[in-house]
Amino acid sequence: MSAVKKRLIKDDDLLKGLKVSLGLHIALVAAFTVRAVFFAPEKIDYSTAVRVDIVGLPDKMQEQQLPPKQEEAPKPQPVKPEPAPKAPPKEAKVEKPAKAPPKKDAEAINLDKDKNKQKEALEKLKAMAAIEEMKKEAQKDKEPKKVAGVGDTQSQATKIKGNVLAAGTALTGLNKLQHDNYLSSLDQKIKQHWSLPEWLANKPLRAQVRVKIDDKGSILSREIVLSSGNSSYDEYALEAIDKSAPFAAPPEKFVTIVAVNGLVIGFPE
Amino acid sequence: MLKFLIVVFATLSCYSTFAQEEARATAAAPATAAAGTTADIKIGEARTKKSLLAFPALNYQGSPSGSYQTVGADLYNTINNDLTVSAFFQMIPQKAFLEDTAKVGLRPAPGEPNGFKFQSWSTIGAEFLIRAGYFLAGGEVNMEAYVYHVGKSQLVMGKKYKGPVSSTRKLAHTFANDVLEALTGKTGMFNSKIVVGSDKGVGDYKEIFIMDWDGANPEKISSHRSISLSPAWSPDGKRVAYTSYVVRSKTKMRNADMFLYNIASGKRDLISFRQGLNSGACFAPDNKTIYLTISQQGAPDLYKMSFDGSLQGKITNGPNSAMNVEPAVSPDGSKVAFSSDRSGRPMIYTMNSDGSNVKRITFAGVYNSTPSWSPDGKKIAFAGQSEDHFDIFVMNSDGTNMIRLTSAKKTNGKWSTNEDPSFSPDGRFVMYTSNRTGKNQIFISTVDGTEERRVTLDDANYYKPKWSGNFD
Repeated sequence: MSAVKKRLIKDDDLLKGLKVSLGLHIALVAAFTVRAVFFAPEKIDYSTAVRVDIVGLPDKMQEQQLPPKQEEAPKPQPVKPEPAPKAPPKEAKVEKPAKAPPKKDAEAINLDKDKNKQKEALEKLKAMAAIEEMKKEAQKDKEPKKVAGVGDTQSQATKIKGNVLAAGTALTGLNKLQHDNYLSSLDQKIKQHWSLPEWLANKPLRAQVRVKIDDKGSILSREIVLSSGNSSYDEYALEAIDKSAPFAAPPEKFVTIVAVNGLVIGFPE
Repeated sequence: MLKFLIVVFATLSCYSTFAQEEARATAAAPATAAAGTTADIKIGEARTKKSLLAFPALNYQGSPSGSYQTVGADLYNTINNDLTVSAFFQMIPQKAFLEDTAKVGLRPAPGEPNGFKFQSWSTIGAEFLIRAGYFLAGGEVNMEAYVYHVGKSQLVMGKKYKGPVSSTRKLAHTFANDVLEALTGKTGMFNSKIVVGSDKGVGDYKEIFIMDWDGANPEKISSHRSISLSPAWSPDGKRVAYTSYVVRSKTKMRNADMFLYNIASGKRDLISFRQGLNSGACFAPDNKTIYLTISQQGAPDLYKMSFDGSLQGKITNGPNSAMNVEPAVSPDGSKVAFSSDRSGRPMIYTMNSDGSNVKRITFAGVYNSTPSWSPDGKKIAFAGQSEDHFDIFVMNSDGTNMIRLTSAKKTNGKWSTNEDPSFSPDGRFVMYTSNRTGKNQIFISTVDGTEERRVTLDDANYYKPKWSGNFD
């Protein structure tokens, strides 16, 4: 009996204690809420914060690490997203027939795989068709392209930013790719020889040279079309071109352009 | 000072001076920028390169007598060293030459019988050729020298020089300056000098020395039999201020007092002898004022002073008794760079020359000291410490774009200490001391840190070199 009573009393005490505890907790939360809502917190003074010093000093730069001066140019000629996108997949197909001959040997051994053969044959046919299409397209482009090329380097030039010969509808597909590749090969070659003594570098000088190239890649002529006003600078520009010759032979379709109209090369632009 | 008698009595000819073209080009540049078509190929900025230069030994044009060979070697070595250090040229080694230059004339063949052939030089890739000859007469050196552009087969510059044998090196420096001026449009720094503290030949003492920029012709200008240090050039190059720990006659105590020395007259004035430090002199460009560090009231602070020693004002004051030392006045006189430990660690600060507008400009490293302005006022060099040694750094005068010039180990594998930078008068080089060889020797580096050279080649120690302006 007494034991039960005691337990009951104890339960009562526990309940009471819990209630008090709960009340106090609620009061506490309420107090902080009220404080947070109605009383603005103290402002922290950031202005007197200590500035922390960096302890390290810069390392010595090796010459190769110095900021490269010809940063902009290494990008190959910006390919304009025009009708061009069609070209890459086509070109991939064109390459396939070239790869085909070695495969023939393998097929000779695996005589039983007729299905493969058939597939190969189909693919070949498709590729041939694609090439025919490309050829037609190229022939169509040939004449208008020449005219456009002429216009690009002269009259229309000011309208176009970036790659001049790729402007408008002048070059599309394979032609444009070939042309871009050719220009960037020249660019890379001349860049290797484009150097100035320190006293001429870092000066706001600019020269342009028109260079005409024959079908073998040799220089037919080169002349200053825009002088920097400093004869030494102009000569270094010409020297860079002379040292870069001979160039790669231009793609067949551009032989006339580069031989007759020439290409304008800007030092630095 | 020696009196030099270099008479450039004939500027033979000077067609197509490159320098003139420079001037035209700079003026024409904005106009041409707008013109021109859009190029098919834009090559971009050029790499910088050194021009291949052939400089054969000088021809002796008189009858062999006396010390003619020594003079010839002096001329050759001085010119050759100047042009090599200039960092503009790659010198072609003698053994590559195809012509026996002693047997051909100084001028090209078609015009002169037995002249040299341009083809012999273009074949070996020379861009420029220097041909020079000399003779001795009446105790004087006579030199005639020509600079040719090999590719154009053209004379760039030709001059005759004459001076006493004692000024042989000066004559050579003058020609080297003329070469740079003709090719680049800016004269060289080869007739400048160094003032420096050194123990050269004075045992445990340190005295003040003046020498040519390449370490030749050292001349001791103080004999205090004490520690003399931190010299400075007046802007006109006629005076040197320095500090020496001299004994006071009354108290028998040593104190760091400042002297002003007149180079021409040899007159020496004690100009600041306040108790404590009187050091770190730096002349203002007005050639009337000296900025210096004085510590009479405890912590060292910066003051302005006249040449007669009267103070014009205290320009730094603490805060909290922080030290403010090593003033460096900007070339236009408007600003003063100095080092101070007011932020805890010694750092570089700049302020207006009246002490207002103090700005901290270095935040890296643990100890930055001895700021020095470039002649155009755009850069500041200083010695900075991040670990246990100092190195030389160059930054813009606002503290941005900091680069390291030195990083060298001693023979024992430990890092060397490089201190006390000073700019060349043309702003292309920085001079400093380094202990990488075991002794504190003078070195120079190009301002981008790409080429470093030792200047002094002896067993002495050098402290706080200061590079002068150009002497004529």
